[in-house]
Amino acid sequence: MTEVEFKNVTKKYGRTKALSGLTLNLSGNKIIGILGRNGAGKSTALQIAAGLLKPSGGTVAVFGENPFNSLRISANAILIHEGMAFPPSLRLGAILDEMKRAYPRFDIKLALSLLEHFGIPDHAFHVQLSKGMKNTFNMITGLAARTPLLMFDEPLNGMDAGVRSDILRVLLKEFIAQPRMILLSGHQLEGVEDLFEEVAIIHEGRLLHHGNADEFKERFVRISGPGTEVRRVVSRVRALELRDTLPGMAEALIELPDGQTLPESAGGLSVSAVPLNDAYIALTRRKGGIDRVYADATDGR
Amino acid sequence: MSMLTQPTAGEAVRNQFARNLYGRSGILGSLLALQVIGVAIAFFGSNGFGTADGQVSINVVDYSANPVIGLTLLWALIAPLYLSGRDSLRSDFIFPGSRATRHIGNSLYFAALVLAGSLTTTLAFMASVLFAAIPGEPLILPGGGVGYYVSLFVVLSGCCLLVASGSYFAGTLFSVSRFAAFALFALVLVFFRLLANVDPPAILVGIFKGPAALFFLKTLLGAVLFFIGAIIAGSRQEVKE
Repeated sequence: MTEVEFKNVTKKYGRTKALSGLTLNLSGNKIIGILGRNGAGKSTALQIAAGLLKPSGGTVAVFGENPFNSLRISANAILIHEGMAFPPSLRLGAILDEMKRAYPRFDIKLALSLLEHFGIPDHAFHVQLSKGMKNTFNMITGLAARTPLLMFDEPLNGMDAGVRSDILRVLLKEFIAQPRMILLSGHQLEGVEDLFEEVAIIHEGRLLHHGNADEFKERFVRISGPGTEVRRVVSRVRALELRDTLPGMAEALIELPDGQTLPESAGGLSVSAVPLNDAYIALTRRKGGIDRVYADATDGR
Repeated sequence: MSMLTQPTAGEAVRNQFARNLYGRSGILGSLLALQVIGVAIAFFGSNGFGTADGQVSINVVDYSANPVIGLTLLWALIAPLYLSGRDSLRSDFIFPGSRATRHIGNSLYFAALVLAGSLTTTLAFMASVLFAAIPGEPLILPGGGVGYYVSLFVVLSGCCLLVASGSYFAGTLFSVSRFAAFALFALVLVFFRLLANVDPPAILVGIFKGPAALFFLKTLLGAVLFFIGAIIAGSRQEVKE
């Protein structure tokens, strides 16, 4: 069964297009990365899947049903994001009680234990928390809710490295214990990318790529070495980045054709794997990159 | 985890009602605070009239709970604007529910609060008699006995319900589309302008004229229409960041 299905979905805010014909099918109990640059349309897509926003065009189905105004979908899907506004007069402990009443599978014991571990007092109000603590609390509520579809939009913002690493471990443990579809959107992927089984890259409101995360990563390699050698390889494949490093030396990030691999140290070149973060950033970067923009803006001064 | 939860609309409405009660204690607190202020104002009474000549001095002080009534009506006007606003919408949609169950839960919450508020106002009205008794001056009690207070409760409940539902409808419409809200407001002004020659207050009085029970039924009908209007207006409302 396809859990989440977007068919040619568009979304406009006034004259601004957030989604322009997004088609994407997600199925199975997997952790899926929804990647894209700022303004790519990731958050809008997740908000539509959660039934918070109504698409301007196209169709969306979550568990086979239009999520907008669906009581069933609202009870089986939760979107965790930075701007969550819990009832302001409830303390954190009371919010967890409220979540328990609303979501039948909510694991309050897990939530309270995590709260204690991360040093978040349950008598505090949500508005009193720092940005990182707020996001940690939000993530805890999402994990403990145990809905069949769990969506996180930029969940790790503001968290320190220790908290980040711990909460991601909990996320993985929760996924193993209670397999479900988890969508994780973001653009800062340090520590997260190894969790992804699939990635969907959204760019300018459309799907740019959807597939297995490891296969996607393996398509991209970084080569460095003598400039002439680097340029010779680049002339035969698609180069996403090319820059001179030391005099006579160059570095490039290239996309290999399907099934092709470059042997390490091919032709005196150094070949290294590319983190997912770098790969999708290079893939979605405007031609010429920031160097071209700056050079054009300053007329080469 | 392929088993999906099958929630019922009744559960969602109950949860919305309970969340308002526990999670928005400020709404109930503001009603209580305003009523206490009203009682405090009522305690000092207002001078009715007085006369004095060489032989006799008469000073009439009017003790009534009118300030409590006024402040309760003010609360009924303002509180629904908060609950129908975007912040409340964003907060409500963290929890399972549809737009319809949210509005129904909110409507029932206001109905319950209005009844409670009207009851306390009626009790304050009864208690205001005691304020006159405390200084030990001669007392003129309002006529009508228990029936008078029952009528007061019924009429006040109807008025508050109508005001609260109208305010909730206006707030919902405003948060959905400011243009639609201003257009409706302009339409109402035009309507009253057209009725200027036929004395609109007289028409309103005519609509709501009659015994207390009938008055309550008419206001209840008006309130139900306003709440249905809010459900319809809010049925396509988006939850924006």
